[in-house]
Amino acid sequence: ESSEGSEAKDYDLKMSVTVSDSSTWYEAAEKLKEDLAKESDGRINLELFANEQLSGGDSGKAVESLAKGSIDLTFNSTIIYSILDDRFGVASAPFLFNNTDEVDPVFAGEGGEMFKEILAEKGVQALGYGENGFRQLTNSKLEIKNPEDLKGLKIRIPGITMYTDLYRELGTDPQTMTFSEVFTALQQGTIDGQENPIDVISSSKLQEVQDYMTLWNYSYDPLVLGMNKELYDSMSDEDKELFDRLGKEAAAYQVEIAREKETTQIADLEAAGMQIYTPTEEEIAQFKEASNPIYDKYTDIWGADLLKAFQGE
Amino acid sequence: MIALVLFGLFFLLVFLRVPIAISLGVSSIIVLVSSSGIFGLEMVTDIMYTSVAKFTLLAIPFFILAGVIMEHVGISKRLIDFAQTLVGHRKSGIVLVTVIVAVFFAAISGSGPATVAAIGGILIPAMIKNGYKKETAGALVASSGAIGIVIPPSIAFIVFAVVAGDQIPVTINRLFMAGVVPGILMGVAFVIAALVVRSRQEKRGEFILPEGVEIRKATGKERWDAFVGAFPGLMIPVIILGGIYGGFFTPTEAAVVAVVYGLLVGMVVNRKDTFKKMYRIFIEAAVQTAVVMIIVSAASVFAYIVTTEQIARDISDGIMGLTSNPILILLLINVLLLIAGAFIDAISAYYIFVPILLPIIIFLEVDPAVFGVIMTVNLAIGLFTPPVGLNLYVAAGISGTNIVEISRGVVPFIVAAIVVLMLVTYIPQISTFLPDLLNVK
Amino acid sequence: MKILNYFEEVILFLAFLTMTIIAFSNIVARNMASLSLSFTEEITINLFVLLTFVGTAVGVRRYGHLGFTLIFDHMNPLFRKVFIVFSTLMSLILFGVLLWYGLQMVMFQMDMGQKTPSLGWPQWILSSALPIGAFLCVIRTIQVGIEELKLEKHSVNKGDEAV
Ligand code: NA
Ligand code: NA
Repeated sequence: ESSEGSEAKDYDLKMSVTVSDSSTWYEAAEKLKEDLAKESDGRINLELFANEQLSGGDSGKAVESLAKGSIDLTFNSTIIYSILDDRFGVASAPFLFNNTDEVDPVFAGEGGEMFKEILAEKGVQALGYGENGFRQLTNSKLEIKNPEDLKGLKIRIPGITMYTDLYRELGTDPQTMTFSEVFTALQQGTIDGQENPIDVISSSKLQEVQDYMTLWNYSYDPLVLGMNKELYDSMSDEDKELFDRLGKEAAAYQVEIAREKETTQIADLEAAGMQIYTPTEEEIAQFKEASNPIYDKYTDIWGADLLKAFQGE
Repeated sequence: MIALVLFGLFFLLVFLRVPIAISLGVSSIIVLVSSSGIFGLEMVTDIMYTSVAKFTLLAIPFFILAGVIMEHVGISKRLIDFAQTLVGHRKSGIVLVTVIVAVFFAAISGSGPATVAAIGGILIPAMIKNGYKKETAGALVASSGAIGIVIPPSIAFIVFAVVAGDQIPVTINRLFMAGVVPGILMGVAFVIAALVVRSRQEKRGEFILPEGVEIRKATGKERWDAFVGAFPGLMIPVIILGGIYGGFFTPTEAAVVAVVYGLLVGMVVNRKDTFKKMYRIFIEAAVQTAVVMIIVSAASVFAYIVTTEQIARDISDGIMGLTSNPILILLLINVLLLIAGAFIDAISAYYIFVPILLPIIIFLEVDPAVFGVIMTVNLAIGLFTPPVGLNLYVAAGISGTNIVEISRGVVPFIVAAIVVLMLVTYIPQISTFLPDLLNVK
Repeated sequence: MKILNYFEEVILFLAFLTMTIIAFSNIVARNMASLSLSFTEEITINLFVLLTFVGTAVGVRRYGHLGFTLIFDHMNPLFRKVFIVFSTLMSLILFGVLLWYGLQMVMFQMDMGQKTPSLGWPQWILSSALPIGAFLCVIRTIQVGIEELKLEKHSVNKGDEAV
């Protein structure tokens, strides 16, 4: 898939993006594609595929293929990476970050470095970190302000053990149905609520079937701009530098536009009639307290050092 | 160019008697390997695996299993007896019975050929006994059986939702509701077609009612007894649709509930050899499922190439370049799908044509559920058009005719179905009326 | 081959029965006990893969797969033999790719220690459904190819199995 040039190699690479071509993820991938083409004088070509087309719509498969090398680059959530290593779960730990101001130094610092090492063990070169955003809670029953309000609600969550444990601790009745059935299930009351980043909530039009949203920033959802490590290692130092620099820029760009977009999306959701609640510090403290057992159970799995790095200590 | 190679290889392989699933897979393999080298093979495997390992598609095996169970516990026979007591005494009785039972069975079964197999064994001989020619009897059952994929539950709609769902939000629930009225319309059209055939045969003196055929009105008690006998079967659509639209189950869950219900009825209705029978039923349904799913699996790779190599966009741009008149575009789409339906099965057709046609549909702002109905009616017609029409093969087998004779017999029904197709294409309210009334999105 | 028939059928029966039991328990648990067993989804969908590919092998054995036989039916016996060999080879290409790369996939997942997201089970155990099914498909394809050549006439019961 690469051919010998007179001095530098040509590359024709495939990149998979989980979501659609109207997403910030794809926009950032396009920036990477353009920058690479420009700075390499057209030597490095990136072909982009939206909706995880390269792996039949399956994100887990995309990460597997990235590690294996049948896909060259991907943008995937660290939640997906947990299938390769439990330690990636630390980034989504409950109420770990209060806001993005607390997030940024961790990923720019030791936390990001440690993830990069684990990713390398799994055959993935991390070029940068993007974000899917903080995961927020929506439901059709009541305004949720504290753990008491959650009792007995049927909440759809992604099929990850840590989330299941957490939602049990919080007294809800967690459901892990496939996302394609969620809209219908919410509409018909088969489930009461769900949790996702604002972008997913908004693009899936969940405001049509959900009246309440709580902005509790309970779990951060970072993205990895990853490259197959074998491919990266086989490149010249100049090309490595190019991918490092442009990858980091593309990831930073994604974070920037995602945050801008989120602000307008929240306003639009409110305009569409959603009742949006931001819990107070005391209420967040109650949620944190209720989720402490998760830390008891998972600290060993994540590793105490890694957790400390992510707690910014 | 890639488009030509891909489609050319596929049709070449099909004509050389390579099974459809294999033709889809091998033509895709050749194109992928020539464009991305040996890595293409890894991708083929990954996509064939992930396209099957999809939760939404789980409704397919369960609806197939439910259908096989219903057939084996004698529910179809009881439905026929009941319909017979209601309308059997009329001159058009047996035609009405056939279509009514087909529509009812369609509300139990998710597949076309399964509907034919379930009702044809009794109804085809009954029609012949009532003076209809073999090929007419076979053709009516073959075409009525196709209603099985238009009236919910429907494997066709599930696959459509999965394939189209990548690009546009459309729920199985809305598709299911949208199919109800068009399916009933098809039934009405088939009754009319069968009666026209009959009166023409009568005029030519070709329709001879054999002697000794009893045509009398059933008594109230007979009707009641038949109703009681058919009751377990009549409850199934209530359970499935009531369960889904009452918010109790997802479509997949409704399929599972239908299976368990069928097994319970089976145990009550026939107590001996239940386990042995169950063993055979599960295996039978598993093989039927595999025949569908291997096509889903291989067609996914084909669809992947159609999408990623921009073939879909080129063809849809081409169609839109021909005319900008929405009426003509829709007509063109129907012609394309009817021709495709003559040669390939519905499942492959969704994977191949949805990526191509969806951009046009989005451009024309057609409700995706209406488009789902248009496509499904087209492909339902494909089930009984020669040369490749599963319902036709099943019905020919049961009626003791050959494929050429039954192909002749089926022409009036194709015409009738095309009339319905035109109605649902140009009057979208036929499909949207019911889901909108019930506020199903 | 009798043992193989038995083996395939038992796999199909057990896989389908387990799928049904899991799916039904999930509904009961959700509606009556307010519990979610939906983490079992990953077992169910992999059993579905097993069912599909083992069922495909049985379909091959029973001549159950959809195809277009009109041209073939009007051929003389020599051409028919060529057609039989050709379509057997085509089937072997597809099933062979699935078998080989399916094995690669399973071995890679084993090396990586890849786990299923909800249950945390080793992914390779569940994914083995693909190469196992593909292996049976390869065997059945060869068997049926030889059988057809021997019979030299074909007796395709089209539609009996198909949906
Ligand atoms: Na149906
Ligand atoms: Na056809």
